[in-house]
Amino acid sequence: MSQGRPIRVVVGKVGLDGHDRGVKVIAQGLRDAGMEVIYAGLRRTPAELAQIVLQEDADVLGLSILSGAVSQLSRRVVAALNEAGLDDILVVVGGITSPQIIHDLDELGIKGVFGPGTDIPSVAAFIELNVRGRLPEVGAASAQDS
Amino acid sequence: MRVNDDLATLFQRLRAGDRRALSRALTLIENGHPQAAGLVDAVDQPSDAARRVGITGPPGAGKSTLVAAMADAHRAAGRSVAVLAVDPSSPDGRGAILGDRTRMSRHYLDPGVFIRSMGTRGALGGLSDAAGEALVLLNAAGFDEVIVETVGTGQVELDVTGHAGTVVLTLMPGGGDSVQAMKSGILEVADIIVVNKGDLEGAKQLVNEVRQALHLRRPADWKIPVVRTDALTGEGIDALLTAIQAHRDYLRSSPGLPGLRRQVLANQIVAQAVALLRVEARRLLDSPAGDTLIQDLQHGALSPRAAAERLAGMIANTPQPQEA
Repeated sequence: MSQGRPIRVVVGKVGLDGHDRGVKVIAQGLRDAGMEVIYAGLRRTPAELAQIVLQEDADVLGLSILSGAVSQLSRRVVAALNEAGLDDILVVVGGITSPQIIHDLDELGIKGVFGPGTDIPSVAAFIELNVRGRLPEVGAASAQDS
Repeated sequence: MRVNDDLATLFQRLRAGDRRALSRALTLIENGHPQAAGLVDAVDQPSDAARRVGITGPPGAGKSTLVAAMADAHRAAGRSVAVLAVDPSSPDGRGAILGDRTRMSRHYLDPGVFIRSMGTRGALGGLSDAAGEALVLLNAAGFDEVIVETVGTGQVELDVTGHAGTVVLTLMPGGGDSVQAMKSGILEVADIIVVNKGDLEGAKQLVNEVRQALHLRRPADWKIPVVRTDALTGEGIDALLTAIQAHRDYLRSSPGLPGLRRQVLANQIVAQAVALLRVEARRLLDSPAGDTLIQDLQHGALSPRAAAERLAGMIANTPQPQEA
């Protein structure tokens, strides 16, 4: 696959928590980092997110979860992805974290967990590294810091 | 991304209704993968561009909501729907936020609806460069209805007319008076005009103004209908689908293409042909005959124009590749 193509990321929220500021900030930041961000919206079900990832042929699914149910919701989303045959999708989670949550998500295979205070370039770098197997070029990474 | 998917298998799965195969094929097309051309070539039935519907109009007119309402009506009638929704990429042509599908969220789990978002990736005509080929694949995947939604357009983004038999221009009250509509080439593109947000103040007035503006144009066989809709409630959608069907009937019955659509299609062929010729010209110039030509130019034995004419002659005499 040509290295020039944009990485495609579906971002959205599951469950009833309607705090969408974080997911919008992330969407804007990943766009500025050169990714195509498909905004899935709020209150999606795990099955809906899996269908969106499938139809959009996304490389990455980014979940923003600001309720306490990060582990439970993430587990259901991963199950829905697996059921749709999408086990090769990189899942990243942003929101409220704790050592227990990080441990739970690690067991689900989710290594990209970003808590409050995360800077967006580090999220973008994590995605680049895990999708392309390498970090973005220095010039490209710093251009969006301004 | 598994690039080594066997192309023929991928296409067969796509034809058989495998949505993941379709999704992957669209990615190959969009990324200009070397195998992608083979995918489109594999489409063996004529792609019914005339049956596609293009939705265009200024930002915020309610295009995505209108598409969702149209999908409701099609689904109620048992017809499957594919939507290609194009949103603008950032000026560097890479990053994009693709948000049209949030208006269509009630269709997310419906197996009879397939939605794909695309960034323009630097294209300026209101669609992406890959949109045309993507639409061919969506047709090949067997959807009853294929709808393409352009980016929010101003006055010059006319690409959609080359890829959709029926173009619906979506306007809204408060978006400028009829003079705006008259001066923009976009009125020329429209086969049907929708005044959406029909519940808002000024909607009826806009309908009247647009009708008057249309009245001032040269008489044509197809009288552009103006339909007032409220996409959020579904009001007017049946009238819109009736108008689309009437336009399809008109296209079937009328000989030849209307002037603008012919022009846009001709432009597409010219652009593709120039790209092919450029490759061929480079190839010939890398040959011994090309060396001679370049040397003659350098020594002044040929003018640039004469050298170009000779090269054009060489291209014309090159045997055409046989169709497989």
